[in-house]
Amino acid sequence: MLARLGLDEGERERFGAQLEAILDHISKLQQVDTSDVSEMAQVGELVNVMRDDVREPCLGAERALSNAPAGDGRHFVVGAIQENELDG
Amino acid sequence: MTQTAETPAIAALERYEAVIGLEVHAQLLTVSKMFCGCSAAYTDAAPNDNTCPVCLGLPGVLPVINRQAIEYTVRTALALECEIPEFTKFDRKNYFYPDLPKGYQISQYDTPLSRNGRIEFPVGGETVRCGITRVHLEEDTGTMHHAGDVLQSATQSFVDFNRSGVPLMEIVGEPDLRTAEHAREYLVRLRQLLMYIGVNDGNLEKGSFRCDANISLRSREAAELGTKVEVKNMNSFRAVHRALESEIERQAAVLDSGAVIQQETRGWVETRGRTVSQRSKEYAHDYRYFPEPDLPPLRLDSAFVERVRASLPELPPARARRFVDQYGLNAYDASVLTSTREDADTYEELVRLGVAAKLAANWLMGDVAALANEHRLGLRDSGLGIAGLSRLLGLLDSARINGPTAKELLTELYVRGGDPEAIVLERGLGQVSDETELEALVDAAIAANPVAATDFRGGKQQALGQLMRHVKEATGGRADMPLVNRLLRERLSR
Ligand SMILES: [Zn+2]
Repeated sequence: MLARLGLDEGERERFGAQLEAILDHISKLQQVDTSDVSEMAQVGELVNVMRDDVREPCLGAERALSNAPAGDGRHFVVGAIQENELDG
Repeated sequence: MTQTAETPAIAALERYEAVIGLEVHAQLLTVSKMFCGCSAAYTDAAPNDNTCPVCLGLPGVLPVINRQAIEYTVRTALALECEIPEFTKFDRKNYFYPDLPKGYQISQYDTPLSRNGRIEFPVGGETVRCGITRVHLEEDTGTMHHAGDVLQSATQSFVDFNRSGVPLMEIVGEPDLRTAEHAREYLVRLRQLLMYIGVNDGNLEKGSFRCDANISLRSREAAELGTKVEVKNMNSFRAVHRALESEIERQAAVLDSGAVIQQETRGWVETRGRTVSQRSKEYAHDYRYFPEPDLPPLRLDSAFVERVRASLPELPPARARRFVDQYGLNAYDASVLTSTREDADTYEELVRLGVAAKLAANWLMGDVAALANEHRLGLRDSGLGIAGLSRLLGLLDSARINGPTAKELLTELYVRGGDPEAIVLERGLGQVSDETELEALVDAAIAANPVAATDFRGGKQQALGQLMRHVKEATGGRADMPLVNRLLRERLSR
């Protein structure tokens, strides 16, 4: 989602500096010796959280499309994607 | 390989060795989607009806793993003799495409559900063994179609998210295959296996079973590996075979001319009979995988794995071997009868009901298969049913009716059903196998066809046919013909 945000020149400078500061801060973590710490994918202790294979009510197209920027009542509509086929 | 026609691809394989690996994506037969309760039957609903905030990728939602999808994937992995690591987790595969609403696909990167399996299958008398790199689980994307019939002129694309989030199993094969034929057989066997264990419906045309190939050629003289090309858009076994043959031919021509193979993705274009470069995918190779923070990892203990293993049915190769040992069938019949689970179950039920093993095999593979195909109706669901066929074949085996009568009754009763024995009694279809009665008819046949009788005595074997027909017609087709044959020969040799 973040990659989709449009920024003007002023915002670009302001957020650029902020992001720089965040990255600087995080890079301090690089100094910690983690050679004998194993990798982890999550901070929580939870495992094996699963649901049964049961059908639940869906939204339906009308509600699904209600906030879409463009639709035809049945589909989300986007600018055409060009699947360039080049001979070779 | 003597039966295979010499194609340019096969000729090229005398100079180059093809190295082929296949990736299969198979949708799992769950009721609901991978991470939400929406129905997974995406073709049954109008576009976008089977959607919810999770599979639409709306902010603030929490996916939850479908337990059945995990079990189906483990079942598949075990059937492919894979190892199941105790720890597995999901990862985000990031890329932008309109059919992927979250901007990432939940997939598995460095800790797949399983690895290091194998599959073996026969091709033209040799056994091909192909390693399975991994079987992992991910979610399918939505589907798109484009305005206008020509893609290039389209200005809009229409997106349907009914398929978004359907559980999708990826089976990555090792590059152990050497010909287009190997690749096709690998897919035939893999599809059969998935259908056998009840995890996938095997529909290539509708895309519930999809295949991509990686293929390179290397010179038979040099040891270095060739450049890999990925081939997509093959939606039938025939397309896979043709696409790979065409690609072998193309790569051989490029190498013969001294040029180099470009590493690229190519799509098979059925109407043109060749693969075509798809440049658009080039940019998308850095997927920036990272662990999915919304899904806790899985620890699959050995009790779970063993429970799934115990639920596996006997698999086709093992079942075919048992059919040879237990029922005395030849290897070909055994492999035909075990090609689907339903056929193999039907066969064994028939034998359990007392039908001789070889007789049951012949009828199931012959007349019953033809009728099932004609009426698009398996024996199990037909009016006659398995029990009905066993009664019919019982009448044949005990010589109460002859072969032609059995065939006629089968055709008549297959769809509408009925008790074969009652019909035999009612219509007097019982076989005439009384020797005294038949001897009289044999004598009459000889008397009525003196020329044929003389010819046979003079050594002309075919002349017997006319005499046999005479007896057959005299009994309305009900005579025990092997017995008539013996009686005629006895009479004429005196
Ligand atoms: Zn959903």
